[in-house]
Amino acid sequence: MGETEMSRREFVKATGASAVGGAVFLLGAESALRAAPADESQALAGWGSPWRPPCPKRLSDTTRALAHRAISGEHGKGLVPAPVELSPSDRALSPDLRYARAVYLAAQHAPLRILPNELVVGSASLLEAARHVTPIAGDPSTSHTTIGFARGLVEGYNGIRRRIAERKARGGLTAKQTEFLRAMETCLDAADVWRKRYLAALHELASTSSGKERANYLRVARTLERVPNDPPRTFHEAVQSLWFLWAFQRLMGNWSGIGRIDEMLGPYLKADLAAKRLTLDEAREILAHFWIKGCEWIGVPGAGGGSGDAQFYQNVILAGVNARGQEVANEVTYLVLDIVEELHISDFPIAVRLNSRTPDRLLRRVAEVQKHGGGIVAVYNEEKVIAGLEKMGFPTEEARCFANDGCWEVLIPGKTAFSYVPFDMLSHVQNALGLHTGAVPNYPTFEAFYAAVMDGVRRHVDWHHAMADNWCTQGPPTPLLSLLVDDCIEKACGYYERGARYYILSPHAGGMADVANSLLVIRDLVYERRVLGLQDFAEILRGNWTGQEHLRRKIARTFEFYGNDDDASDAMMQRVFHDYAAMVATVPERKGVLRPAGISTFGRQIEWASQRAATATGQHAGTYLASNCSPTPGTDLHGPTAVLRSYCKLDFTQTPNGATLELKIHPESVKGEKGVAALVGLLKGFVALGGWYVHVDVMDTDLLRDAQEHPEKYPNLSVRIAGWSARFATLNKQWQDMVIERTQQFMA
Amino acid sequence: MNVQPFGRTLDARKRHVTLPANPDYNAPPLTVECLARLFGHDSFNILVASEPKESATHWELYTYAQSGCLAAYLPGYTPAEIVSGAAVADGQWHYCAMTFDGRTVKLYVDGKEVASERVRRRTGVASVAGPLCVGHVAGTTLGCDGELDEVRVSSVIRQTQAMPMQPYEDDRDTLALWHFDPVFAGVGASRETDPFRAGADAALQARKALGAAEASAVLVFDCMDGGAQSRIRMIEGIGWFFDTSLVFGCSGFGPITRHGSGATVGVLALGEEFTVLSAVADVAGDHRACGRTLATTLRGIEESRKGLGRLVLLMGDCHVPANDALVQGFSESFGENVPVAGGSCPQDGLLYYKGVVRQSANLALLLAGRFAVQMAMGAAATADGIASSRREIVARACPSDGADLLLLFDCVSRKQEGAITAPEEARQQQFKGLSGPVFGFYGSGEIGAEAVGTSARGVGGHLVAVALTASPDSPAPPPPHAR
Repeated sequence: MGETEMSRREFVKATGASAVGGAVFLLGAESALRAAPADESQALAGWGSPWRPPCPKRLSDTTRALAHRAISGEHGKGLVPAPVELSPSDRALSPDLRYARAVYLAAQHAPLRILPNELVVGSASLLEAARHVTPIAGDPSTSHTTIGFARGLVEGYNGIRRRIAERKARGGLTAKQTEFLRAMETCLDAADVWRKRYLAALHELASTSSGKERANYLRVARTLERVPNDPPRTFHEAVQSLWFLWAFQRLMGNWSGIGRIDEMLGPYLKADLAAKRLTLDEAREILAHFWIKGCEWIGVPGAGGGSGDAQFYQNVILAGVNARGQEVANEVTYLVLDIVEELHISDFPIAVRLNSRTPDRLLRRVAEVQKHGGGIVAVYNEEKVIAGLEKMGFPTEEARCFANDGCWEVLIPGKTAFSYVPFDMLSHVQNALGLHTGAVPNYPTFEAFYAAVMDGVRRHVDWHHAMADNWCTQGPPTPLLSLLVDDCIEKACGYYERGARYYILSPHAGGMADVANSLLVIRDLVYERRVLGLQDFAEILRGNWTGQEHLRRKIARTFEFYGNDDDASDAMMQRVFHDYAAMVATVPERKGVLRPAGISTFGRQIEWASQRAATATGQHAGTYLASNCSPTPGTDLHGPTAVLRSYCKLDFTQTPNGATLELKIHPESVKGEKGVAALVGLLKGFVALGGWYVHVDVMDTDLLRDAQEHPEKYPNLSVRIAGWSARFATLNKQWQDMVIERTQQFMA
Repeated sequence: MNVQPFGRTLDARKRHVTLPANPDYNAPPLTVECLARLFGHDSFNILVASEPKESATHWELYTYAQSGCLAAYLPGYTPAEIVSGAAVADGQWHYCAMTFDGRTVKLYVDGKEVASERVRRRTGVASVAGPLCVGHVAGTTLGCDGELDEVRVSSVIRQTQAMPMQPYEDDRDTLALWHFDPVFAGVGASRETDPFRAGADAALQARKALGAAEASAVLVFDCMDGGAQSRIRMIEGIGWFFDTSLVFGCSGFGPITRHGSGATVGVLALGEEFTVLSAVADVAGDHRACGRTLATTLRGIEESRKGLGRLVLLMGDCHVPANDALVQGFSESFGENVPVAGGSCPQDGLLYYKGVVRQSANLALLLAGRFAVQMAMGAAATADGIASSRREIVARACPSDGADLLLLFDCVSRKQEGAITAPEEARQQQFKGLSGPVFGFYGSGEIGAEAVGTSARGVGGHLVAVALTASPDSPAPPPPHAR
């Protein structure tokens, strides 16, 4: 196949400033072409066959083939470094204007990628972006947020432009604020340059093709004639608009979550279906292409570290109530689940908002998708989430609109600047024991010891509050991101300069289960049974249990730890949880920054392992301990229901920023109709008992071990990590071990 | 340079030893030292290594294949490999050492610096937790063709220019230390009056004294108040630190240890050096028959243990003179080629067999292992006589002023109130001038012999001393000590 033909079929090109006028030249095409061979078999050579779940085939072969290519990492490997630099005069501009200039250059020069038969176009094709850096400008970019795509979709860029003009007209702005608004306008100009380049490219491709392919190019081009500048009129326009809004942010390295996609797109689909402009099957194809394009960063060299190839914080929220309290779930909700089930794409992790009135149809579909594994679909109990947000002071209507930050921490999308600060709570137990200093103070009672542990936590929380006071008073420029964040235009201030409506900086405690379990053992062995003194215990832990294997095992056999529905251990967990949350809640808000308590580790139990000494619960130093709000691996011995019951004894309205639970369930135990029913029961129980967020990964640990040894056999085997899923083969050994070591649960 | 090992060594051709992962083993500054006698140099010889090779904080001290030169490998740094020109795989003992202060890796052979290399930290390599290994690297099949001794990992840069003149001390900077000499036994005692607490307290001390070695049996002597329920609680306490199926012993007038007077419970944990076989039999009114039953049970097992040092301990509800009938019955059936010692609890005393409290029963333990036994017996009736008799029998049993384990059985010191005062007991139990752990009990009828090779009896003496000394040619189990 010659290059000419290749470039027609695989339109990977970049245009200069004159591109809008029609002059097109290849830039960076050589590398891109290498990464994008013409046919599927070439593209996937050496990658292996993707696993597909046994489910009905609803999507076309063309769509499935596009999915296969995207998942293989073909597009991610084809990302290129930004082909242009800022000029010296650009670099002399103010940070906001300099940033906007970089956005403009990226829009002008970033390679375009259009594949035949794609129903949605637009590619974040710059390598720096996938590495969390602003291309060309070099500034840090933003993640852990979900910006206002809902408003952006409805207003279009033109609506945003009008708001900026209106704000400028009202005046009263400082020079910096004026510059910021100007930078925002430049970003809008840039977005239109990018749109026009795609439009021109689509027309050019149409001019050199024929038949169905030509028709498809023109069909996509028609959507871009209108969106995202103006509000969409059809479902296809809405999907294309949402993609363009999102992808342009990603082009500049901003990794936003999507938010409530069914609420955003549902009305357009409903209207199309009513007018018989579209069938559900056609709508599913269009939406599937959105999902496929969400995989375009798979395989990016140097991205993700050891935590997998999909940690781009692009969560999608489904279902739940809207601001008025009405259920959102609609046909888009089910189409998304169809697509995820069939293509097994985990790059948009799904979080479904459940409540006690969630339709059975939705619960069943969630369970059906979950049983295929990959942990792609997690669930919130929105009743607890909303109650927690209300407790923080959010109006009910606002709280009902919650989404997440692209991971699982909750926020109000499009209005919130968010971050969290993790800390290892277990270190405070180990400090009180003097494990790193060698000196164990005399604690005459357990209460004295407990107080010493919590004093350490308190010092950390105080530090957090002091640090939060000045958070986001200055930071990297964000005129592009701020376009979709409420109040940034009104205040003429950026996301990192207190322009957003809400600022949330949440302390996140890690290792809480290990803390509670350790305290349980110390209370019992040292202060109640008096098996040994605290000094002796500390000495044993400093010695990493050397010579004390019998004691170590006896502790493991004797105690029912958190996660077994045991009242004593759960009470200790409740106490630690409550005391921590109450400590954080003493300063719910100060200097404009909200500080809701959260509990997480994500994967930090890996990095903390090297700093943690042996634990009183019998774990050796260096062991990967509990993740998030889950039990310590291997200590939850009585099945998932017991885990759930322990977890749900906690009052999650006290931790508005969340506390999640992971369950790794063996596939054999959720087979068939009974398995679906069991999972539905689990989900209902989760809501009824008052859980907050749970991700259920149906996965066989033995299979994971085999995949660790033979990654080539499992190229697209997905596993849930924390707020994201990843292809197992792309995790490094530590992360793989962490997933493997999670307790294998069986449904009764 | 003449380098010699201290005591026993690890034959790394046959086994390697490990300690669980601990981040402290990998954080510079570090000093890694060992004595090594390496025979082959066709392959790499691993001396000491921490964590798997893929870890950023992995380090290993080894000799290079073919050349046999001392080398170090630290993949988290550049250069990762530091190779000296000092060949050490020559069948001779060498003192090998590595120091690493975070910037410079230095290698030493026999006190001389043989390599020095500045290194830089590499990025993008993650730490992978793994054990500290002697003679091996975790996750590989690499081993060591040689013997090792005095392996020490320290959290400071030590002086490595001088040859070690004695076994290393376990000081505050020591992270891990192996002498490879057997820890024969660990002893603990408690003055607690609560039986559970006393059992746990004494057991913890014994467990700590045993280091990393596994226990093969646990002997318990006590003088707790209360009956069987009290002892059940005591054994529950012991059970936190030892498998109760290893617990044997009996009630009496109290344990004899180095922990001074007034102990309510004493615990002796026998180390991996021992193979311990046990038998129990009800008295059923005939101690002689009981002794025969015990012997019959042990005899079949005993045949397979020829070539090892052996000692039989008899104990139980065999208040003098029943103890004499017991030992006679035992010897009739078992023969007299194995030394026998032991003693009786007071009348209606309690026996502990595999963690279960029994009455009206006797038990026999056959200790087998690579050790030598010496025994002495004495008699006394007064406090002064007891003191001199004890000194005399201990001196006879331990001619070199020590043993790897000294067992004492005393049926006179507390036989009559006031026979020996508490201060005197405390003074005697310091065992001044004597090395090694001491364990025994005050009972109501000792069993022993004048010397090994003479007939054991239950009457005619009041004090028995049995000294166990590790045989110098026996292979050493690895009892590492680690913080």
